[in-house]
Amino acid sequence: MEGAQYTISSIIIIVWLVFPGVVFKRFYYQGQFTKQFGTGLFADRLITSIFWGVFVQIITFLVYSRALNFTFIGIEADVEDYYKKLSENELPLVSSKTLIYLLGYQIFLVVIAVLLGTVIHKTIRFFKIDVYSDVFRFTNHWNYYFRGEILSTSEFKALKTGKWTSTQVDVLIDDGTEKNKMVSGYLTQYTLSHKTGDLETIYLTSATRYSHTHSKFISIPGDCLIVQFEKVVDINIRYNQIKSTINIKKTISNIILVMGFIVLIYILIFPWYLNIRVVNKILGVIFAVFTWLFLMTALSFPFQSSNNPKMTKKAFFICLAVMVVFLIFTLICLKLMPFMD
Amino acid sequence: MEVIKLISSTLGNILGSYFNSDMDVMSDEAKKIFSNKEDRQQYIDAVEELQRSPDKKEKTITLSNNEKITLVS
Repeated sequence: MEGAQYTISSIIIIVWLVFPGVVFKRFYYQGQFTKQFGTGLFADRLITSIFWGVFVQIITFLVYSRALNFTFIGIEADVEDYYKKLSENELPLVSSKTLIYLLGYQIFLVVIAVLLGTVIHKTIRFFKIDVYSDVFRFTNHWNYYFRGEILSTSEFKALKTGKWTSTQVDVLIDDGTEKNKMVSGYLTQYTLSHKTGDLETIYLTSATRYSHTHSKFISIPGDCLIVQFEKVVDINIRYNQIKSTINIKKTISNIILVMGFIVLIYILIFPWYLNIRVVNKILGVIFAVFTWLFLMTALSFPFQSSNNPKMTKKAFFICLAVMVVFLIFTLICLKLMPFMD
Repeated sequence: MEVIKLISSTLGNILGSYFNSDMDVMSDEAKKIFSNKEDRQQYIDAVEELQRSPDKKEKTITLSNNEKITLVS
């Protein structure tokens, strides 16, 4: 009996706490930081997964219980009964309605984990919180050096003269001869080792090599030079910067994008607080997202450089019309139309 | 048809601005410059000129789309 209890507890911890935590971390460590997801001590990864799992679980429960109008106290007796039956090695009697609720909860749990992981990652990167604060910094330090983000830190601030555009690298390669080979070029890509997370390869364009005979750098014919980092002795990084100019169109466009993101979060949450059927809430959210998408598209037209202003104007009005149609559907689904009961 | 293309490309840009990776080691400006052979050469020459002469702090180049950018050292 005790063995069965341990098994059930383990399954509950894995499915309800570790799994959402793992999904959260998978989407938090994305892009060039993805290698951090699988590195580190197993115990450390397990503890952090449980921590984030609890966080995701709380958020999911709050939203799900609010959407389906139930409370923890309301379902406590049923949960206790199911747990008791399972620990006694008996199959609890679960109605099809409860089963659908449980499956829905499980799907919602994964969705919330994905959303939270992505939103937190994007927020940290957008506001450069990881650049300014060591606590939030990802372990892939190459990203900060190669993207010139290190120039925003207090240690390198003096080197920042403008806006970073590209990174040039001078690499000393051990080619087995007495005189090592030196190549230089504009960095276009890099890869990290799957196992260790160390720098594996760098890709250079407009590459040149130092000629000992001519005592100068000469062009290397080709479009892309691939350098294996294991053969690199030294690496020198040079940042190319341009004068920052205030682009009003781009600034307004960015403000619209940020405001749009806040509105999107609101329209994803707001319907769940309405006293309507779940189907209406789901359809309302879907139509609201389409309304948002066409509104954002219409708003972005005035800030685009167009060769055909007449066509842009036409597209703007079409987007507005489509947006109004989706808005009507949204209001109908959410029962927010003024003339509806 | 052209309107639909324009709307779909703008829709794509909107979604792209939220979901695109910010991990590229070349900025959007540099990518645009490097995609044009003449602009690329102008940019490389300007960078080299700035690196050769430490006294020179700025170098302005005009791209093929008449956009002016000023490189600083």
